[in-house]
Amino acid sequence: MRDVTIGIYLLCLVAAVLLAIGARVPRWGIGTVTELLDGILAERAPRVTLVLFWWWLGWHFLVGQTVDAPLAG
Amino acid sequence: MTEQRARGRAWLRSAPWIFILAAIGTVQVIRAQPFDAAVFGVAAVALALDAAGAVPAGARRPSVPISAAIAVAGVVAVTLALAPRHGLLAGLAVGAVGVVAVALAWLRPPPRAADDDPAARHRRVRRAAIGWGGVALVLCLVELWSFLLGRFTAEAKELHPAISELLDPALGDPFGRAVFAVAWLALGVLLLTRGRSARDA
Repeated sequence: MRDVTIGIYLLCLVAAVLLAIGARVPRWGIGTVTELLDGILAERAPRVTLVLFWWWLGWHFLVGQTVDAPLAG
Repeated sequence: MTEQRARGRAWLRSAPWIFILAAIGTVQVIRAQPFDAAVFGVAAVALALDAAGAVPAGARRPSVPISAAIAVAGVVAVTLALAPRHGLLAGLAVGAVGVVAVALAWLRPPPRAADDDPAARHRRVRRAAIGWGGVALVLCLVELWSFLLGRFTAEAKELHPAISELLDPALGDPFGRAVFAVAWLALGVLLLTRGRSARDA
């Protein structure tokens, strides 16, 4: 099961790379990350949500508690 | 459009994001992390008040030269790579970044030039949103699934690793922290330099 979980994380990474590369192929017709972000972040609610979540990732991994102990054993 | 209808539309546009903040805050409550939960809770309440019209419209964000943003990010990255993890200096650096970043995010980004072909841009952006949204959704669901299943025993945690557990060992040494800090800050600069709308140009 551990390998399946890690495999899904890696598949997501591969999909993200393909989306980024695909945006450079005009006939695929996929927008770039910057075009997408310009669309999403024009409104305050998504802008504050995504920036806050991004900030929390830094806090979580570098400052706060990164790994939680299991409840039993 | 009446003011009431405009307010209703603003609520509809903000509601999914307020829900996301509340959901993340709830996970932090389950994790027994009160500070993290409070951060997301306060943000959810602030956005709800904003959607209800209780907060004055924000001013335009001051223009920050990209070279200055990269220079500041470089100093922060070096600090985070060299400072002890979970220490006071790392906390002050990340905390300061957060205060500035969220304050800038609250303000409206500067406008950009109008599109040559808005319909084509809309189609491209919609496809990108479906693709990136799908990746983000799968990632969040697997992460949540792993977090919930791995909570109870050490064996379950081993079988269902969250991303935090997989990345944690790499962040123990300065090189790993430097790679993470650069990637994290680069994403932050990207988020804080986008969102330029042609509608209010």
